Amino acid sequence: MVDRYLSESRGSKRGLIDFIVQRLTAIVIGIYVIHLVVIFALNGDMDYAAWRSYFTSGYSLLLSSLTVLAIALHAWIGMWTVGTDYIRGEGIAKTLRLTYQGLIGVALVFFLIWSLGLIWGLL
Amino acid sequence: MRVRVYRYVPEQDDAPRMQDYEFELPQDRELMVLDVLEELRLQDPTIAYRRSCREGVCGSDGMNMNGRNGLACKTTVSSIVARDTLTLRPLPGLPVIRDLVVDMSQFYAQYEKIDPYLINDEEPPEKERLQSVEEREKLDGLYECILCACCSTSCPSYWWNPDKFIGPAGLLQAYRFLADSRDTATSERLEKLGDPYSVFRCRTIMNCVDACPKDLNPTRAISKIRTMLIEDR
Repeated sequence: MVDRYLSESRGSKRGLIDFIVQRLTAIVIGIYVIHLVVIFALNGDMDYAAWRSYFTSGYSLLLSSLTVLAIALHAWIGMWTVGTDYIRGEGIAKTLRLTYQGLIGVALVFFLIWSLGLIWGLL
Repeated sequence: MRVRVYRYVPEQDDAPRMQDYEFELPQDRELMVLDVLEELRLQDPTIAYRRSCREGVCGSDGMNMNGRNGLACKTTVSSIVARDTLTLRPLPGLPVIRDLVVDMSQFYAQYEKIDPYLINDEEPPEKERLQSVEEREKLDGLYECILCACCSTSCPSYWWNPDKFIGPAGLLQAYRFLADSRDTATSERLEKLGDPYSVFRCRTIMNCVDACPKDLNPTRAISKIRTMLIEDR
């Protein structure tokens, strides 16, 4: 078992890439949260017009889009890892794991497109 | 004191069971858990466990004592006993051969995977490959591992993926050879470690550090391997 996995995985960098992506996306999400807190703290009495003008400004659109993309990537790596921890093995377990991964993937793509549509005012 | 011992002979028993023994602790001296087991074995010679040096060097008597992994020979009863009960189970996650004796084959296979020996393709020197004091110091906290498996069997990532995740013990040794100035196979070693399981299944919960009877720090070694992998890209 150990030998078989070693021959399959030698030279793979996917773990390293996942590790780096997860940390970079966490930084993006962190920056976004801090940025929101600062915006709300500086502008305590924002009305609809102020909200709208802020969230349709160019840099805000870009930052919001980048953040939902980061959330989707971050969630995918995390959920993939949880799935491979708890649903292990071949046969029916593999079918179950692939179904789980498929559902997570579809849901994340759906939420990503939905969020981007909302951010850019297309929906 | 009540001692509860995990009993299981896979060829005979349908399921594992816990057997209770009464044990009178002496008032005048401290006993190790291994001393208790040795005494119990006089009462009941069928209890099976591994032991050898009885002083924390050989790593044979790793077991789970009141929920914590450690070496029975260097764990005092008073430090671990709770509600006058001492519960002894085999190391979690490994197949049981008999009672407290586990099958370590997969653990050793993971150790073998990291090539636990010096690889050097340069011309051998006349006498020996010397290290500076600083180079040698890098191996402190790494070479002392006795492969008792207390750390790897306390790690949930190792329980879930024992065939793919090398586990803290193997990774501590992987870093021991990565950090060795006399080893020239750094790139080849790192090539085996970049996949999603071998190293990166570590979630840094530090159970390994808590469990290690030799006070080593596999978590730190793993984070250094990660850094080397990032720098090697």
